[in-house]
Amino acid sequence: MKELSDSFTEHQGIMKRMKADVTVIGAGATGCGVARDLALRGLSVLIVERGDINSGASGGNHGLLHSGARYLLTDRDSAEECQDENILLREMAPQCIEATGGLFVGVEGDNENDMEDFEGLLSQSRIPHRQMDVAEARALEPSLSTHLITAYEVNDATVDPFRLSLDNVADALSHGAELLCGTAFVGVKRQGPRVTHAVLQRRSTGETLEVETTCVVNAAGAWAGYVAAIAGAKTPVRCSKGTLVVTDHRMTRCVVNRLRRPSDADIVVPGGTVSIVGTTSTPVENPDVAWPTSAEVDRIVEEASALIPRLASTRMIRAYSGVRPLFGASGGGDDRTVSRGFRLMDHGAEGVENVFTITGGKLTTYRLMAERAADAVCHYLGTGGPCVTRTRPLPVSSGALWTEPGAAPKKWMSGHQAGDGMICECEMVSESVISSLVASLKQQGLATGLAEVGLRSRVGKGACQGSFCGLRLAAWMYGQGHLTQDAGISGLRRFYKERWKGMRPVSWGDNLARAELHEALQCGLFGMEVEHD
Amino acid sequence: MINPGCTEGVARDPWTAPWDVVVIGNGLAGSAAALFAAKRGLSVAVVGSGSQLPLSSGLFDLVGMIPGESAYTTRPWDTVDALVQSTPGHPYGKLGAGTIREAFQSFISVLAEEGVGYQLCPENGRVITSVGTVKASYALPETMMAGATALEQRWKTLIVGIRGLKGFEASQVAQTARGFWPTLSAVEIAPEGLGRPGDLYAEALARELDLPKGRERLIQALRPHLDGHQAVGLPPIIGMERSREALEHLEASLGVPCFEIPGMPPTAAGVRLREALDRAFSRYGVATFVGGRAQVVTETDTGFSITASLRGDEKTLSARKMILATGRFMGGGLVGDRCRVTEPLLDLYVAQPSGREAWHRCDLFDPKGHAVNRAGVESDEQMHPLSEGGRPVNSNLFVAGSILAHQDWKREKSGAGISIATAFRAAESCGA
Ligand SMILES: Cc1cc2nc3c(=O)[nH]c(=O)nc-3n(C[C@H](O)[C@H](O)[C@H](O)COP(=O)(O)OP(=O)(O)OC[C@H]3O[C@@H](n4cnc5c(N)ncnc54)[C@H](O)[C@@H]3O)c2cc1C
Ligand SMILES: Cc1cc2nc3c(=O)[nH]c(=O)nc-3n(C[C@H](O)[C@H](O)[C@H](O)COP(=O)(O)OP(=O)(O)OC[C@H]3O[C@@H](n4cnc5c(N)ncnc54)[C@H](O)[C@@H]3O)c2cc1C
Repeated sequence: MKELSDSFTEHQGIMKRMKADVTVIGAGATGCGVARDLALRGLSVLIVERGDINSGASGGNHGLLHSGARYLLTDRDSAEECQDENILLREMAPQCIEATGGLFVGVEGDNENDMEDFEGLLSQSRIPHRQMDVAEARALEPSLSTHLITAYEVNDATVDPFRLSLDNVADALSHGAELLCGTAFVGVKRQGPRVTHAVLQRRSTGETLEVETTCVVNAAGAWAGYVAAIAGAKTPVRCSKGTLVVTDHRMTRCVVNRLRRPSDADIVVPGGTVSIVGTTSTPVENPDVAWPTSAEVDRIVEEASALIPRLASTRMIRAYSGVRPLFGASGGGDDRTVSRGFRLMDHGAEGVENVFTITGGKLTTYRLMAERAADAVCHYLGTGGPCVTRTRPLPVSSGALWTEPGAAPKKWMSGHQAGDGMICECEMVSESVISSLVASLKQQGLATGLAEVGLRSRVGKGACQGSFCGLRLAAWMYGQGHLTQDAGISGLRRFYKERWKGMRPVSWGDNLARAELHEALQCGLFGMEVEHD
Repeated sequence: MINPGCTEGVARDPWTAPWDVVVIGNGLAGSAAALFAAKRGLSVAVVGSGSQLPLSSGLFDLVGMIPGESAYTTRPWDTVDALVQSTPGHPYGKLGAGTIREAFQSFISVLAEEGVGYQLCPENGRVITSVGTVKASYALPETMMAGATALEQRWKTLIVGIRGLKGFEASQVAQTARGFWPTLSAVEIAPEGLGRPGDLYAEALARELDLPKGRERLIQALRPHLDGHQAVGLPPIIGMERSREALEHLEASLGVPCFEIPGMPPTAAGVRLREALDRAFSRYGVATFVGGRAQVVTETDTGFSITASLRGDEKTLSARKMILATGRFMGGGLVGDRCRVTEPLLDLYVAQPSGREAWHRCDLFDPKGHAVNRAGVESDEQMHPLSEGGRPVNSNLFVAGSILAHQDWKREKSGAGISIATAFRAAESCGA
C-alpha cells in the first residue's frame, strides 16, 4: 500500500467507473505497442500490467534489432519480418535505436556447411550485407578472436527496450489510453461467448475491480497461456528461459554474431557503455521463477570467449534472464528449432469471441505484432481507422530518457545547475534526473517508489549495484517527500533483492568483494534482514 | 613509511632486525593483534595495504543473533554459547567467554587512552540507524550511547539533518522509525559557516566540531528547534580527535543528551577509530608499513621473511612469529575465481562450499545467510592455521579476524567481536 498510496487514491475515482473499448493485458513491448496502435486509431484503451512496464521478456532481452540474418538458417519467415521491421523502426523510432551495424563471423571448428548455406541464403535475401575480409573484421573489432574464417557485415542495430516501451505508453496515454501497473488480470465476466468485464486485482491491496470492456487483447508474453485460460480460452505456450551477462565496459563497436545455427552465447550486443553477452535457452515450467544461474553464466563466458577471448577475464556487472513463449509440439529437441515467429490467435472457435492473443515474436517485430492485433480488434468491433504506426514516428517522451547507459552522464557533462547533487556516482544520475522521472511517474498516475525509479533510470545498475546509491536515493526521496513512513525500508529490500538476482551468478573475483561489502552494509550494519519490534 | 613517533623509539634498522611479531593486515583484527602483542612487550610491525575501518560504523558487535533467527538477542552471552553449540568450528568456540570479555576490555581501554570512549552493554545496546532500522551492539562509542537510552525510553527526540550532507536524511530516520518510536521528529538545519555549502562531508564536519567555534555554529542553528525535546540525534559528526569534548560541549549548551546515529560509510566514526588506532600504534611502539602489500612470505630458520611493496618501494622484514589478519574478499585475504576460494598469500587451506552455485542463496536476505561467508581458514585454539588434514601449518604462524572459517559476522552481527577476540588469542599465543 505504502508506495502506491498516493497515486492509488487519485486513481480510485476513475477506477470505480472504469470502462474501455479494449483492455490490453501486459505492458511489455507488445502490449505497449498494441495500446498505442489502438489509441491512435481512436479507441479507448486500458493497459493492465501486474508488475511494471517491461517486467517480462521486454525487460530481460538482448536489445538486438535483428537484421534477420540470424534466422536465415532456421526460420525464413522470422528473418523476413525482422528485416522489414528493422528498416522501418530506424525511421519511426530513431531515439530508441543505435545503428551500430553487425558482423557475422565464422569461427574455426564450427560447421562450415552452415557457413556456406548462410552465404547463399544471405545473398538471396533482401538483407543489406557485405562479405568482408577476416582481417578487415578484426581491424574493425580488434577484440575478435584470431581464429575467424569468414565475416559478413549486416545492418543489425541495438534497441533500448525500456525506452521503446515507455515511449509507446506515453504516446498511448497522450491519446487517451490509461495504464494500471501493479494490477493483475484475474478473471472475466461473460455473457454467452462475449467477455463483458475484465476483473482486475491491485497487487498491493488485494482489492478487485471490474472494467466494462468490449474486447480483450492478451499480450502477456510467456504468461499468455495463463491469461488465455483466465478468459476461458486456450493458448498452448511453452516457456524457454534465456540468460544474458553484462560486461563492465563496451567490448565491441557493433553487434557481433557467431555464424552458426542459433546456439548458446552466440551474440555480443553493445549497449551504451556496456556489452551484453548471451543467450542461453532452457525450458522452464513457471515463467515467474526464471533467475540466471552460475552454470549458465559460466557457459556463456566459456562459449563467447571463442568469439572474443578477452571475455574470459572481463568483469561482469550482472546477469539477467527473460522468458520467451514458444509454440508448437513440445517434447524433445532443442527449443531453438521451434519457430521464433509470432502468433495472433482469435479465440472465437473456442467460444470466446472477443479475446485475442498476440504473443511470441521478437522485440524487433513488436510493431508488426501490434498492428496485426489491432487490425483484428478493429475488424471485430467494426470501428477504428487504418494502422498509422508505419508512417507516424514514435514521439520522444520525457520520462524515458534515462534508461540508456551513458545518457545521464552526457547530460551531466553538458552542463548542470549548481546544487544538482549526484545520487548515483557510478552511472552519474543526478537529483534533477530523478526529479524529472518522479514528475513523469506522477503525471502517469504511477507509484513513485524506489523500484519504479530504479526501472526508469540507471541507478543501481553501475559498479556498486546500488550498495551506496540505493541508500542515497532513498535518503534523498525522503527529503523530497516522495517516500514516507517506512516505505523506504520495504522499498530498499525489494530493490536489493531484485538487484541480487543479477549479482549472484557473477559473484566471483572483484564482484565477490562487492557482494561482501553490500551485505556488510545492508545486513552487518543496518540489519535489513532483521525483524524490528 | 614508519610512524615518525615510533622510529625514534626503535634504535635499530627497523626492517632487517627480526621482529618478535609481524602482523599482516591492518583492519580491525590486525590492528588489535598488533596492539595486544605490543602490550605484552613484544616488538611488533604491521604491514597493511589500507583499511576497511573507515567503512565501519564505530560499533563493536559481540553477537546479535543466530543466523536463521529473525530478531536480535537481548542476552548476547547466552547467544554466544548457543552459537558455539549450533556452529561446529565457530571461532568463539575456540576462545571461551572469559577470553572474549578480556579482549573487549583490553581493546576499549587502549582506545580510551586515545580519547575514544566505549561503553559495554551487557544486554546489547539498541540504537537507531540512518535508514531507520534498529542496530543492536555490545560496545557503543560514547558518542552514540545516549541514543540507546533515548530509544529504550522512547524519549521525545529530535533527529537533526544537515542540509547538503548526502546520505543522511533526518525525515527518513523519523518516518521509518515512527511505528515503534512515535515521539521522533525531524528537522534539517543549515548551520551558517559550517562546512562548504554544496560540498559537505561528514569527516570534514567532524573535524570542524573538534573546535569550539564549529560547535557554536551548530548549537546556534540547532537551538531554535529544540523546544521540549529530551534528546538530539545527529549524523556521526561529533568531533574527530576531541569527540568527548565536543559531545560535552553540545550537551552542556543545549541542555539535553546528544548522540550520533550510525550510518552510511565512510563515516567519521570509522575514521575516528582508524586515527585512534594509529595514535595507539605510536604510543605502544608498533611500527607500520601502511599502504604496503605483503607479496611473498618465506619460512626461515628463525621464523619468516616477508617482502612487502608499496609503489616500487620494497621492504623485507624478518619475523619470529607472524599473524595473518588479511580479512576476507574485501580486504583481499581471500579471493574467489569462478570455481573456488583460495588464500592468496600463503596458499593456506580454505574450508568452503563445493561450487559457486552453492556460494550464495537466491534470496539476498535469506535469514540463514550465504554459505560462502562461512568459507575461510581453519584454526586450532591457539589460532594456528590448519592444513586440510587438520594439522597446524607452522607453530609460529597465527591467524585472526574475519578470514577465519565457520563464522558469518554479517548475519551473526559479530564482526568486531570475532576480530578483537581472535586477535587477542593470537597475540597471547605469540607471547607464550
Ligand atoms: C533472453 C531473451 C533475449 C531476447 N533477445 C531479443 C533480441 O535481442 N531482439 C529481439 O528482437 N527480441 C529478443 N527477444 C524476444 C523479445 O524480448 C520478446 O519477444 C518481447 O520482449 C516480448 O514482449 P511481450 O510484450 O510480448 O512480452 P513480455 O515482455 O513478456 O510482456 C508480458 C507482460 O505481461 C504481464 N502479465 C503477465 N500476466 C499478467 C496478468 N495476469 N495480468 C497483467 N499482466 C500480466 C507481465 O508482467 C509482462 O510484463 C529475447 C527474448 C529473450 C527471452
Ligand atoms: C561497511 C561495514 C560496516 C561494518 N559495520 C560493523 C558494525 O556495525 N559492527 C561490527 O562489529 N563490525 C562492523 N564491521 C566489521 C569490522 O569492522 C571488520 O570489517 C571486521 O571485523 C573484519 O576485520 P578484519 O580485520 O578481519 O578484516 P579487514 O577489515 O578486511 O582487514 C584486513 C586488512 O588486511 C589488508 N590486507 C589483505 N591482504 C594483505 C596483504 N597481502 N598485505 C598487507 N595487507 C593486506 C587489507 O587491505 C585489509 O585492510 C563493518 C564492516 C564494514 C565493511
